[in-house]
Amino acid sequence: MKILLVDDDEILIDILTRTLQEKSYAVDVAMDGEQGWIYGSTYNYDLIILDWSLPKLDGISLCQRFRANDYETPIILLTSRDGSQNKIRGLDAGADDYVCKPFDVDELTARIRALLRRLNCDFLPVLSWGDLQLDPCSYQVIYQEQVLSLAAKEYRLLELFLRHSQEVLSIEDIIESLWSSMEYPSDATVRSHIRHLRKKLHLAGLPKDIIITVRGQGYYLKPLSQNNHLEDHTQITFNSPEPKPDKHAQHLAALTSIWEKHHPKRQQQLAQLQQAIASLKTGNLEVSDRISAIVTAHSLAGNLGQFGLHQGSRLAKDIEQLLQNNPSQEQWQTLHHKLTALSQKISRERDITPQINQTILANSPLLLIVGNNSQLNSQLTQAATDQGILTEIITSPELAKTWLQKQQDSYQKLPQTVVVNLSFADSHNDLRQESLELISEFKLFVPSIPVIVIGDHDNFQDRLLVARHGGSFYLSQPANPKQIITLSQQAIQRSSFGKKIMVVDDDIELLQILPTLLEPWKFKLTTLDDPRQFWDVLQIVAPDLLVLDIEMPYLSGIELCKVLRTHPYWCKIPVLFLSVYSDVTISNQVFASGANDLVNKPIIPQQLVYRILNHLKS
Amino acid sequence: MNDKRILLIDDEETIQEVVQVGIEIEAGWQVEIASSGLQGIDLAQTQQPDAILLDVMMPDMDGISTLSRLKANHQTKAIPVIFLTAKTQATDKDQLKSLGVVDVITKPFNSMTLASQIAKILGWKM
Repeated sequence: MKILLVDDDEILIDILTRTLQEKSYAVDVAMDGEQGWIYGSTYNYDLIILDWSLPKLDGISLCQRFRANDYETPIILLTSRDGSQNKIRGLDAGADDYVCKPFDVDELTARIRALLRRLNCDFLPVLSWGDLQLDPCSYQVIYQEQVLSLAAKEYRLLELFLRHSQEVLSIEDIIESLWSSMEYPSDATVRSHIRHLRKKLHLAGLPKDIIITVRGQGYYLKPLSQNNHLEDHTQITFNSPEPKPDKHAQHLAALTSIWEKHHPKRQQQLAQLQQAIASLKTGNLEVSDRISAIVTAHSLAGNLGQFGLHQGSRLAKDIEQLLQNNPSQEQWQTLHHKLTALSQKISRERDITPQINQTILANSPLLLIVGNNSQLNSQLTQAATDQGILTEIITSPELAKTWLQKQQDSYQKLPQTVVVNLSFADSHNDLRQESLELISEFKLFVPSIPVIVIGDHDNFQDRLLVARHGGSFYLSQPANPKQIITLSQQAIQRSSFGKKIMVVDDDIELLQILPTLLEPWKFKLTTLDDPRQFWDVLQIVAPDLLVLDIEMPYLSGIELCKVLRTHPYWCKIPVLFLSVYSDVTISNQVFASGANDLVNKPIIPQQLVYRILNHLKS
Repeated sequence: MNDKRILLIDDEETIQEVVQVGIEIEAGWQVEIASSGLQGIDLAQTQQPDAILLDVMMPDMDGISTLSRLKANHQTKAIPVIFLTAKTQATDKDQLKSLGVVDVITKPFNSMTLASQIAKILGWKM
């Protein structure tokens, strides 16, 4: 955990820095508002403590500046101004908490812990992994009733892994979180701390590989439920032949090689910027050199952003902007800070492939895999990645429920489809029940999220049970991972997301409420009240499905449908009619014109949606 | 529909390669590269591409001057042009669009979906 303290009171800085360091936080100090901005916009912090009165830029304005530039780091405002008006001003400026001076240091650290807990969506004050418990209040680590003696860095490493239990943490992530910006530990130092931590945890009786290394990417905390199956899975070898490089893999390899090829150029660009800053320091930066440094920074910013290194890109942009504003000689230091941070970001991206993969898959569909069969999970992930689908693996239905809740609470991406591993063996009764409940939960989403169930039996009773709980597909083991992914793709394609629906009706009121009624399904809706414009709009919109009113001025829906059916391309588009009549003659005319369905007005939104979805499927 | 030819006018070598990889792998279209506005105008005349991707910020002749020359030339004025530009505000995007380009794609772009983005803008099928 890393904290930025922005304060100009040296005594307070001294007390707070010492207290926070004792509590195992890494602390950076900035003595004025402008310096606070430079630090806060250059390095990553878990929390910022700001004094209200600061030289150069006051705490409120600095807070506002952070928020205006989309920095979401929690901020605690320190002030000697009591009174609710001031509190309101502070909170309105974007601060998350407000502490009045003089304050109790213990109260401040408790508030810091509370804010950080909120940030991690983790409301339990004690962090745990099975019987291993870390208590951030008492700074104690306990495993099966024995207190572990960890060095400060080891304690903070463990805390970091527990707080980010589902993420791979790179060495860069670890350095950024555990060391202050003025310290430059080597990768070997970090590895050595991890080695010591692993050793101490193992001596206490925890598994040797509680912290797993992912070559070229970093480290992650072993998922808990895999623990019992540890021995079974360590020896697994994959016999499947090397998959043929497909489009996605080809794309990824090509981008990686472009990044590597331009490594010398990036180094040259960094050196050029360094030279320009050195000239500024001595007061000898010529206009022409400044302009070429601006071009260089601009180019770096663009290229880093293209490869998903957004923090690096932002730093390069900051440098570009500073140089554009004709910096004074004193500003060399700010530029130097930014450049040092930028160089570090670049040099740590030795293996860019995971980063690029994440960037190009950012808009891709997400497949959630729930189950603890690690062989199947990794085969599924491979098959999904080959098809450009992102995956999230969660080892138990219970954890999946928590994850789902967290995604919803933080407005994060929800899966477009889910694969659930289900065992019907008697000994797994509880687990089976939990899995079935999870499947029902996905069914409740609007629109529902399709679930593919992989079961270890294949009989009618099991299929019925899964169907009753809302499972969309049922496959029995051994299931072919490629087949499962193909099924997921079909499920994704069948979803309503982004499907273009065009509605032609002269009932303006209906056209006005339809977008709200159909909003949850994320259709792309085009409404038209004048049938005379039908043909032009149809060509532009190219809808996936049409909804037509029967009676309209100038041209009836039936006439429009007849025209459509004479066209080689449009003859196949699904057409739904809306009608106020329940007359048989009229409905005969409707179907004779080539309609696929007829829905009576007043429409029931849910029914209309199901009918639309059914026609989109076929 | 793999017969499309795109002309990219951009001075950044990295961007040239990323665009080429993205479009050729994902859509199978051919990408011609020009590293400057002048070279771009020349290639547009001789190659007659189906569309032009034009970077706004380039040294010597920038994207806006290149566009006005392309539009003033009867051999190239009908070729649809899409601007490539660093992330800007919506107002900037509208201003750029008013100069006569079909659309504006902001950098960084997703190379995996770039071709489908172009296809969508130009109404091409992929």
